[in-house]
Amino acid sequence: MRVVAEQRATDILISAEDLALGYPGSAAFPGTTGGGTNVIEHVDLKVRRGAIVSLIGPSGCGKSTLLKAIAGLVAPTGGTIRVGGTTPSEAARRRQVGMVLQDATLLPWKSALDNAGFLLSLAAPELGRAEIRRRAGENLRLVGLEGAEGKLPRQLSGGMKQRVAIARALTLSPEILLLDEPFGALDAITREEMSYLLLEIWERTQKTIVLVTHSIDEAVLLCSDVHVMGARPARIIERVTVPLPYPRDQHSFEDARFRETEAVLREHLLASHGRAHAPQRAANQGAANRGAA
Amino acid sequence: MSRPAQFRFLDAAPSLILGVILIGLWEAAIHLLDVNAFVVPAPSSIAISLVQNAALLAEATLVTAKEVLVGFVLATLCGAALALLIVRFRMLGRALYPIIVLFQTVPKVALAPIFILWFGYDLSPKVMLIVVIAFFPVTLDMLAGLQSVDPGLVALMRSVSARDNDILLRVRIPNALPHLMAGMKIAITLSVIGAIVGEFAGASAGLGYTIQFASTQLDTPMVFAALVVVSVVGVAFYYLIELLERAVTPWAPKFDPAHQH
Repeated sequence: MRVVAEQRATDILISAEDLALGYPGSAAFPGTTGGGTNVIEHVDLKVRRGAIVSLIGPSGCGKSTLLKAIAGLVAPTGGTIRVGGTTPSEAARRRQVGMVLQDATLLPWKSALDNAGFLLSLAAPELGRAEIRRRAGENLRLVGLEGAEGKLPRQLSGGMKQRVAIARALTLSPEILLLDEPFGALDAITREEMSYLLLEIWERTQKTIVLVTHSIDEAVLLCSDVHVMGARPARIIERVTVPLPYPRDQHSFEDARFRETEAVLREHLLASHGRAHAPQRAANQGAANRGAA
Repeated sequence: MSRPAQFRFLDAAPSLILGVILIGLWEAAIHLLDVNAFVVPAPSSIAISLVQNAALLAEATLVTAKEVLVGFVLATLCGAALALLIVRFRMLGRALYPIIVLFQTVPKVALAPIFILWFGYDLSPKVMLIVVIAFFPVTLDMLAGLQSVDPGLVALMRSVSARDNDILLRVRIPNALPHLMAGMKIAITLSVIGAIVGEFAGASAGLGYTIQFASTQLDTPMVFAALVVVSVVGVAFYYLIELLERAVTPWAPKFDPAHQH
């Protein structure tokens, strides 16, 4: 049970104020203001405990960088960012944050079970092998991989590998799950299945989830709030609340509010492109910007 | 990976048939053109020499095989250790790597007489020569393997504050094993060359010594017989490494030239 359950509606778990992110000492982004190397500037973001929100936007708008900052992998060059009342890297050390990337990045010599437990075994070896395996097995069941514990990654499909990656993040028992285009490398049907799986996981575990995606559909189906990001300068240009009730499923697509929200988001995204003078790039972002932003 | 045996035979069939045809052409050409055996021997006279000198060749094979094995194991250990040092200690790596590359441009064969001078006519100069000839591909492949870990995974490990040693031991080294095996396959063939060159420079036994001795006697069929044995030894060692590879890294995808698509 959460200590502050009654405050839940106003309980901010992730907050960024006037956040600037970049790579100090690199000349990769010349011509931008404020030090000359910032990827993101003036970003304000608030994520409530237990919310499921997404960051959506064109390639190179820095949405992955923002996610990395929440995970403590990129230090801010300006402004503040707090995760669970502390710094992101401290939160990561306390295993409050679990991350899933576009590629499952499983270890090919380890079974699904040992892959799922791998990060926990690095973070908390004192738990012991048996306990780590027990938790990993529990989370493999949660992602629907019961019976595949002993399989090696090469025996698993793309969707199953990504399920293992989700189980690996969940095995850390984090409060926050960060997903960086987690289904970007999967086919359309598997993608949709994974969306329902993620909804199920969210409803069961009540984790706070931040999802980076290219897909408007995915953002609307899964999220309560969608943060639309724009490029050059990278920033959050709009926050759209999705008025669909949970639980959501395949019938959510038929809801008129779904189509309306989708249209609003599309407009914002197109506008962000218009201002960025890069109108052609929206359509084919798919595989082209793996690991870009 | 575990295909039935008759398919394996079919895999080997094209090269077997081609081999038999080439040997047949060779035999026919020698007889038709009436070439003297001390210039180019026919396959049949090589076979006769093999049988006649079986005991002698077996003895020489043991000497050479021992040199190859000891040299190869040392070359692999040195090569892998160098790669580990380069990856683990960056400053040392930056200092070492250019020197290793520079050393690689030295013609190693030219070192054979020096090693004879330093270490005598026994096993050790051959082993030293094999090590300097064969360690480089091991180092290079091991380095590639240690460094080819997905940066995303490294980031995930760092996010849970994993230490460099943990990442090295639990991810980089296992990840490097298939690469190490590839380097070892190159190293084993270089090791056979190193042993023969070492024996040419100065030896009193071994297959390289046998080749040199037989050629001074104008016993060309025996030179070829010894060459055949050298090749068989080389191939045997190579497949030994392949067996080792299957045992050590069963999870890694295998390159199979007989089944390219």
